[in-house]
Amino acid sequence: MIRAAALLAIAVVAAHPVEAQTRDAAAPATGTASIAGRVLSDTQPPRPLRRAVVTINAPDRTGSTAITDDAGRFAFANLPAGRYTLSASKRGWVAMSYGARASGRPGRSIPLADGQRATATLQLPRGAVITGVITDQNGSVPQGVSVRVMRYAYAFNSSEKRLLPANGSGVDERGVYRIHSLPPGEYYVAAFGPRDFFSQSRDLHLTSDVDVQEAQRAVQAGPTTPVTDVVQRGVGVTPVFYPGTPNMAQATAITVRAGEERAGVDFTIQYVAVSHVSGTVQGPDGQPPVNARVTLVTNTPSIPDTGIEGIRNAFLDNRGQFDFSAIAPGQYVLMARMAPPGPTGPNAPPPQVLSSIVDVDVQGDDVTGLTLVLQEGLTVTGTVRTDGTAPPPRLNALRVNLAAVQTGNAVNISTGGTTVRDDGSFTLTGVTPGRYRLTLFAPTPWLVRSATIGGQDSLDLPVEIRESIDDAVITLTDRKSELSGRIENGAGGADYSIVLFPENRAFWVGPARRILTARTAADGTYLFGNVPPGDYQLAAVDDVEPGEWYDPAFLQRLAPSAMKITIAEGEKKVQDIKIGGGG
Amino acid sequence: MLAVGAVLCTVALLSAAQSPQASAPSNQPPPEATALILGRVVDASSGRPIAGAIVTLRGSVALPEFTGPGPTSTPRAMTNASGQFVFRKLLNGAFMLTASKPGYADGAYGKRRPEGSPAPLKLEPGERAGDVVIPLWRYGSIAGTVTDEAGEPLIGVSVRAFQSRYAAGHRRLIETDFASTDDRGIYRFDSLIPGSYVVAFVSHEASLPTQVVEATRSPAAPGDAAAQALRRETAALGGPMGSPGSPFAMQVGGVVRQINFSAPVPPPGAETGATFIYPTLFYPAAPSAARAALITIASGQERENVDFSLQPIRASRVSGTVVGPDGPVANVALRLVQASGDFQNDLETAVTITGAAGEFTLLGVPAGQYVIKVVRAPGPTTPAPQPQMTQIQVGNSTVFSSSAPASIPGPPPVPDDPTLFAETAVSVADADVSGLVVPLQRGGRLTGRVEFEGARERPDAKTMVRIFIMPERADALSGVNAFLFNPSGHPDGSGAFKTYGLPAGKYLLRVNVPGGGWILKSITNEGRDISDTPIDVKNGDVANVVVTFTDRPTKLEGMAHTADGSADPDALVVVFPQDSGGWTDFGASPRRMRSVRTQKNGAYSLSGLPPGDYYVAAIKDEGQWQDPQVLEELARVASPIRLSDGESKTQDLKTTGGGR
Repeated sequence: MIRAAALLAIAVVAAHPVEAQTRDAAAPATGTASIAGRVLSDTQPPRPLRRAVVTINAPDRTGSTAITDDAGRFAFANLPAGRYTLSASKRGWVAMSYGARASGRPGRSIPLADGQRATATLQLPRGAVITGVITDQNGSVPQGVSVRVMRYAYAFNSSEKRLLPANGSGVDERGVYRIHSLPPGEYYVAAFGPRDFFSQSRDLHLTSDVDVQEAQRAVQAGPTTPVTDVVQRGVGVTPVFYPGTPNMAQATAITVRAGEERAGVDFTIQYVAVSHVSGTVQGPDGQPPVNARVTLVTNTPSIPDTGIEGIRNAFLDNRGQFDFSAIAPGQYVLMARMAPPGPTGPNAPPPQVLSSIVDVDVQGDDVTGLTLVLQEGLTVTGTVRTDGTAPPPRLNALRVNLAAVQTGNAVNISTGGTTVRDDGSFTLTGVTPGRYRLTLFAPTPWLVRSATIGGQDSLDLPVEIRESIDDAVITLTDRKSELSGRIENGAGGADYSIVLFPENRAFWVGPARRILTARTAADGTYLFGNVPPGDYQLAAVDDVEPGEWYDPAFLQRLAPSAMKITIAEGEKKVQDIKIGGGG
Repeated sequence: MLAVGAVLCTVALLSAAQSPQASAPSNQPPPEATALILGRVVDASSGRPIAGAIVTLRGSVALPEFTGPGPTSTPRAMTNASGQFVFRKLLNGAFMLTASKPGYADGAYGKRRPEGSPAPLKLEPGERAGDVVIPLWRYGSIAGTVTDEAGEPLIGVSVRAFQSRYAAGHRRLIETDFASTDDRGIYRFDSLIPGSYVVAFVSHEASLPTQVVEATRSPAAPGDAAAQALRRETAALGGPMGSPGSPFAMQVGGVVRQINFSAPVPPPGAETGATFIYPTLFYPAAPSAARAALITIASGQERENVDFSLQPIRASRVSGTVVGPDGPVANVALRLVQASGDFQNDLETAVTITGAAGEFTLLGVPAGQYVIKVVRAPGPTTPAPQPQMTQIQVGNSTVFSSSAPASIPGPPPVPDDPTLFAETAVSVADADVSGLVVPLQRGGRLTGRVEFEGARERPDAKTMVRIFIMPERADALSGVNAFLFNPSGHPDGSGAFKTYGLPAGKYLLRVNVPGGGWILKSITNEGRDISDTPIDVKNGDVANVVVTFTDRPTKLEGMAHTADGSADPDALVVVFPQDSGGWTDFGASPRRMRSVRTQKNGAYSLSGLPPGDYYVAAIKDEGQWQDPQVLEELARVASPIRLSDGESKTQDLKTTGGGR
């Protein structure tokens, strides 16, 4: 990845402060600029793509959508001056942003002055197809199986590459799956068993010959002769990777070109012996709890993100007992939760949530006799404050969330958000110990300046919560800081990715709000529209894979050649960059 | 098929309700679980064994003699290469056995047709049931290609299959399947039970005023009733709407036109701002169902080349104002549906939500006869408590699970506010329709009380509030599309109830039983039973509805014999009212139209029929016996019976040829 990110030597051009441009928020949405263009195939020769959907967007403005005509043409007229991004999509083809180097990569924005008429061409690759047949070990078509193609990519909340789902398909009665519209690239194909999220009991056994023989004998002998018991072992389907392995490391990658149809990606799923996981949940008083829910979550590192297939839910019977069947060997997290009754209403405190969590290792035998004792979770209490001159937002329309920050491949469990009360106070209950960021989605023009717990800003450094907290403070500001500039490399229209990252390496915890990237626009300018004030480093690279910027190793390589820059709150800083020599 | 669905549904509900009793400790030693079942799954047409089928065993708790496995254990077996399966360690009781296999309609023990009724398998203590056969019928399929006017395949487009069937005594087109075209424009319905089908591409346009789209994008505070109401209206139209600047919506002259992900991308508008659409097309080339080809599919038949070539047309706009009793009504959902009695569900052509002054514009309406439907139900009187959400992150996946509140307080109280509704006919030629006024009216509601006849203990207030008094459309038109909300009422501790206001129409009342041995005896209003005879609410509220529960259910039982006098284990016993007025408009879950399969020994048993005069007959083939013509033939050979309150009656029957 780093190979693509050629580091560039940066010569600092003196930063020149400019008066903050007052942008009239109520400016009319119509202007005098326009962009017209065509959507073409990326084949040789290119051909027009009709009925492609083209979107145009600019920051802080409602976008527009157009559909191409038979010649692949589109036009957006009456645009106010601004920086626009363009994207095009067409079913069966791969969506692209204008100026992007590949699908999924950021495009280049187009700066438009009043009255300017710009043109733009977007070229889309035809989507690739992966298709095949799934059978079970007996040659039958398995029931309830779905197929997913996956690829390695940086996940939004992780600083390392993971196998992420790209697209999926069901399997028809002939066992056929077909996954289309795939961007060209390298894929892994996996088959998953039925989704059992809501079902507690899915006992399934294969009928063995000895079982049938003994049953036949029992039927013929009549009801007085004893029956020879035959063990009916439960089986289930665990994820299988093409060409037929449960182990991700032994999976074979399939590389497809644009428009390629790769047929014959056939493989077989195996039924594996599964177990029951059962036990009892007790309330704090030792009694069976009312309406508690038990959740069993897959936590096996060698199995990639299984999503909903990895989660099973169960209710308790009136003795507090639960029983999950058809649990495949692996590591799990078992969680019980219960919300006792309490007052309701807009300003009522959220119900205290009781919970209990244990790790469960399933090795092929039934796991029985588990006991979970529900305990009160932690509570995080705090206040939302505003600091600014804009009309304050409606506090009771805001929601506060505690976002668990992932460490390794662990399962993270966090309580959902809560609504802020009229007086700005909030209480999150049922918090399980862990590392968190306190987050809030602020309505325009407000921004979250900080979200502190014990004085530490959790937005920069996730806070370890081990006990209840009563001093959380979320501060909103309406003073937005901005950083923009032009990159000059002597050739005009310089095309780089700009990475802005905090000087303090402790803040390099993805997804960090201070790690920002921007692609230079068609005229070589760049813009970071919302930069939390602080000390930064600024670097330009030739290309960077989305998400790679959260990788501390990547930032470390950038740091020596990066330029230091400080942004104050409300500042609109302009920083031009001259690139020379090492480009 | 409908009947089967209802039966299985009842089983599931009862099993959930009975679980505490099933697990209650008993003084007697538990009986030994030594019964077993050895069976086979076979292809109904060829008799050949089906390997890899999954057989599910459920205790049939709908039967009073149930002692089968509890609801928490549902053993399943996969058949071996000879189609065989074995279930062991069973208690005595009545069991339902179902089987599934890709490419086959779900089968069940006792079924004689793919849409037929299952029969319970009864086991004595320690019984070994050998050669229990479950037949499966192969699905048929219909496949084809969808192309546009340039011959380009259309990708991701929904095609719908409607089966022609009887519902509440009317022949209707009932949507049974939909399929999406793949990257080659190919669609395929792969799970069609034998029958006659109409296949269609259905045009559907959603458009919203710009300010409505913007309002739905900002978060709604829990206390903001107007914002919550707008959320409900948006949800009624299928959920959040796209905004311009996304690939899912575009601005068209003052409104935001949605680009439906399951419809073709529409042709770009001309300079004039005209709207072009691909109109609804029934295979092979008909604009309405009346001229559609009826495609008959046999079990296992694979029909191909049912192709669609979609041609765009210039469509009209229909605009106007929605006006309620207090003036223009803002932010209410409007649905323009085809004026056709052929369909079980409304066929929507265009939908929108009114703007701040009650104004609306429906885009993309081809020439035709339509009805604009509006139903505005009152919002909840108190906002629902917000469940605590738990966020579980596994790797990169995040799943939200809500913690159920500890005690479900029962359904929210029925608000005093009225339900407003409109059904306004619109005729569209080849020009825009403007200035239309859609007047909203107050819907009549049903009020009354619940009574109990019998010595058993009456349900407490907590149980009472969980009794649903459900109005149901007598013509069996889809409940969801008819209401867009649940109009049920709930008795308070004193037994008094009121339903929501209802759009004009004929209704039957249905209730769920409160348990504790109580069953429904009657639902009367001014001397007539409105659980059988529809009541019209067009003239406002209907008061004095009395729901009576009894603890003395009627019982009808007996034996069915074949022509040679031997017990008939394969008969379907059907019961229907002597009064032919009850042969149509009996709703989706009739009380006086019942059927049951005979057991292995030819016996049958039905309990809880309302008192009255019936015909009862045993028939061989259980085709569409609810067809009024079939009932007329059956009435000639059936045995007349009269059941009075709490009466048990025995009636032996001789099996006749029966339905078709």
